[in-house]
Amino acid sequence: MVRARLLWRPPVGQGQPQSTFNLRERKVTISRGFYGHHDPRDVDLPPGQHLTDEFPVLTAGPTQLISTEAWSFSITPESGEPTRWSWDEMKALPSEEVSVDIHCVTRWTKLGTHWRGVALDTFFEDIETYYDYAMVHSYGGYTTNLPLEDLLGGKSWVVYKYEGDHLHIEHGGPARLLVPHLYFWKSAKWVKGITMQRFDEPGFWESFGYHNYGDPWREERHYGD
Amino acid sequence: MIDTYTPRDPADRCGEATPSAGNHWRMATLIGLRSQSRYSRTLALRVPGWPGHRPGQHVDVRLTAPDGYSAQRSYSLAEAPTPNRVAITVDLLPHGEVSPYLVTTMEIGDQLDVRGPIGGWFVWEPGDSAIGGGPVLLIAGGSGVVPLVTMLRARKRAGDLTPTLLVYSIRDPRTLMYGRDLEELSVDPNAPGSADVRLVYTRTAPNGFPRPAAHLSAEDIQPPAEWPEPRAARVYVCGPSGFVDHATRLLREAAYPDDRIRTERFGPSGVDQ
Amino acid sequence: MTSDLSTPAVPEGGPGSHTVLDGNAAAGEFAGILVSDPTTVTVRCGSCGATQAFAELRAYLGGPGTVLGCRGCNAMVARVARTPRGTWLDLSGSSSWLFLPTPAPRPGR
Repeated sequence: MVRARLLWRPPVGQGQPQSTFNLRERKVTISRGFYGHHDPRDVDLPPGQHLTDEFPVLTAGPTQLISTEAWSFSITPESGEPTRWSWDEMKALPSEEVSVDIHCVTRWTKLGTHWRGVALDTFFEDIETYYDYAMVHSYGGYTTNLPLEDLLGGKSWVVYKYEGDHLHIEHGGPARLLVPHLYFWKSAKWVKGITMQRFDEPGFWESFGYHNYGDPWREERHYGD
Repeated sequence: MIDTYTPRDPADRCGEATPSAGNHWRMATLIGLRSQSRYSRTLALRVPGWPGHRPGQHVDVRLTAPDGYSAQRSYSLAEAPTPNRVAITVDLLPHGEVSPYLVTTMEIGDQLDVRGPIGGWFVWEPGDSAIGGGPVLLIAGGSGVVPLVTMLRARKRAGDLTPTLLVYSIRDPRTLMYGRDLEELSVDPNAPGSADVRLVYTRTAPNGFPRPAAHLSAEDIQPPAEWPEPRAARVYVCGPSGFVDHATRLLREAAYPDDRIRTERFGPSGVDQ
Repeated sequence: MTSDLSTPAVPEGGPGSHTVLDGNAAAGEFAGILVSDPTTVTVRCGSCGATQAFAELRAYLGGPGTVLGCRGCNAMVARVARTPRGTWLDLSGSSSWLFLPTPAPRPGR
């Protein structure tokens, strides 16, 4: 087996700009017959992504143990006054079933994942803020930032069910944020609350090598992409 | 099947056995296979320019699919160093991504990338006094036995006389690895480089086995009566995270000081410990 | 990553413990940045002051970066992210790293 030089290319016809990482040569050894958990079917994926049949558990720290009794979710605008929902209050809000594709910056994509949750539009209905940016906080200290407009307009949810079951603790249960149009590190596990911010201050990964916005279709993986 | 262990003269080293600088990948070609148990096998790989390694170290293995998808895992080195050669013993995980390829798909001539050797912490060689000079207690959970047997091989090769006990915890007889090697290492207690081997079955023990199947207990890690007190011994524990945490708790309760214990945790094991 | 709530740390054997490895598993990702082998470095946790070998730290692997946590209090002590644009290293959760001199090679090596 000849050692292959691999050139990354985005799928033909995508019309997406080629990132410099795509064009960079990667010297790797190809292992005959290896496919791993990815599905080599040719489907329309964001550049550099591979289809997986698994749901990898990736975490930046210890699994958080939050009971629904102790759980709350809050939004704090510039006034400093949080609006808070208990678990029961959150469950009483209108919820919806969503089916979305999710894209992890570590290159796996999972199509058609099913969740149930409450749209951030619902939480933000009575929130007064002039700030355009949000910092999402998780139990345990993880943070991720994004513009408010990326939370609203039906683009994000606080979800508590995955594939019909209660969201498993390893996947961020009892509730996590789901923002499927951005790389999955933005879908903060064990979500605790949102603080509005005047500037787009970076969160945990955004301040450490990763892209501030993270659009998978423009392959915005890393800082500087 | 190729016997992947070759006795060597201790003075005949293949190169400086210190960890390589940086973390660059080297191409490796499969040249030998040896079944270890129903669910595991040892792979011998040719790696030109391999700098050598110390018993207990590991390598990172990277597999890349034709379309560029890649996955990476760590495996302990399973043999004493030989020029241009790396051996790993891989346990098949039912839902694994890399182990099924390594255990059931890979054939002689196939290739992958390796990086290493990695790790100077979880290492023991005869004469190594980093954590003292007393007897050596090795505690293995499932595939955690791999680096510990590599230590025993090095010890045997050197004819070392340090009192050594391997406690090897496995689920049932089918998951035992290195059966023949362990017999050879323990058959003659007076032979230089010989070690005590104590098997602990946690799910199903063979008929007539004196110790009924049960999880590792304080009694299982009791050293032989002729050993000095626990404070003089050095301990190496390797296996799944939960097993290592459990064994460490037992060791602390038996008054082994923390600075005499070295641990290495593996990911989810194919064997329920 | 510090814990800012009085939530209990994951109990041993509890959910997630099987996927948490130690610094041995993270050594490949940290190799070659400050030293070729980080496993023997003694790290002091910036949160609780506990010292432990790099090899003993809790390691969280496979995500955008590799994160190391104090085995005692779970606070983040270090993280690394290897990106095509360079390698990021964050030691801000540690108050010190002690690199011991490597022993001289023994005769015959």
